[in-house]
Amino acid sequence: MALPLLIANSRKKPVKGQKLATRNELSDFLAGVERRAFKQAMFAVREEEAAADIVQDAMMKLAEKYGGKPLDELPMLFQRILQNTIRDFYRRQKVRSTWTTLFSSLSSDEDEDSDPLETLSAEGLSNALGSPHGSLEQAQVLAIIEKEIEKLPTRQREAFLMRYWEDMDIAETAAAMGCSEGSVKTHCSRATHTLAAALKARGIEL
Amino acid sequence: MNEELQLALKIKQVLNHGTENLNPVMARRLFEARQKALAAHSAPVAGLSLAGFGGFLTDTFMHRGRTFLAGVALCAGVIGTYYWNQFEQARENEEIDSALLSDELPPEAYLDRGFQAWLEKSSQSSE
Repeated sequence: MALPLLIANSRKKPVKGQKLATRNELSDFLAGVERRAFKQAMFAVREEEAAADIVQDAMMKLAEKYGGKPLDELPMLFQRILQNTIRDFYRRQKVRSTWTTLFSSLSSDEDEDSDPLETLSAEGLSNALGSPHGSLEQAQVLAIIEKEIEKLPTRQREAFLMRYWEDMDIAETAAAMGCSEGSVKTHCSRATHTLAAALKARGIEL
Repeated sequence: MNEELQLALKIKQVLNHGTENLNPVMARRLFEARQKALAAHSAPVAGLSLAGFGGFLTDTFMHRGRTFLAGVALCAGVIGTYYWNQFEQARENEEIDSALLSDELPPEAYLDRGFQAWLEKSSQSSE
């Protein structure tokens, strides 16, 4: 499991001379990362309120448990906490949906044929059809890119965002994801190819 | 690889543009979340520590203090139990001795084989 790795890393005593993060540095770090973290959570859970809650939880955990860590360890630790918090949200949602399904199957059989995934893909399709193929406004390009990033497999999306958006190096990304550096390279490469193909298919050239 | 990196950097620029134009309500919410997190950041100042030689002593000995104290408490418990058992044993012996001495039957009688045989015989006959 990857979690013990985090604990082992985080309990590691700081190297002598390594500067520990002060309150102001932690504040600056969080201010710099909070919006990107919110977007990352949005890509994963697709609900604004839930995404904001996830970011808040991740910030609290970082400040409470790892606030005194060296400044250069914070990005990796924060990403690790953020991804774990997102996974916790998925787990809770899964349990909730299991109970909801159970109760709804007991109570009524209405809307039996409706599938949320179908609605989602139809939404994506309507967006694609509605978007012009020529020169798009930046906001529209952003919306399309965000949609395509949402569609990426979870691990590819995590690796791509940490590596290229958070500017973490391969080793840091691997440590945050709890996988090998080779896996990070593969995930990043696949994610970039998928995004390139998707943008090309929509006639977008960056 | 180079093309990959270039595309990734362009996507990064677009995504950064998106975060700059985050809606004000959500930006405010994130700001408040950050303030809450910073309020919880009390760990580094929670414990005061001594500087210089005092700090060295604290770092060297006090970090292992709990383990040491637990070990001392365990040893004290084991030794205490050993002596307590000895006292208990002595008290029991004392009670037996005093019972024997205060009895009408002299203690020598218990060492007498004839008395033991007489006891067995008399108990069998009473059954």
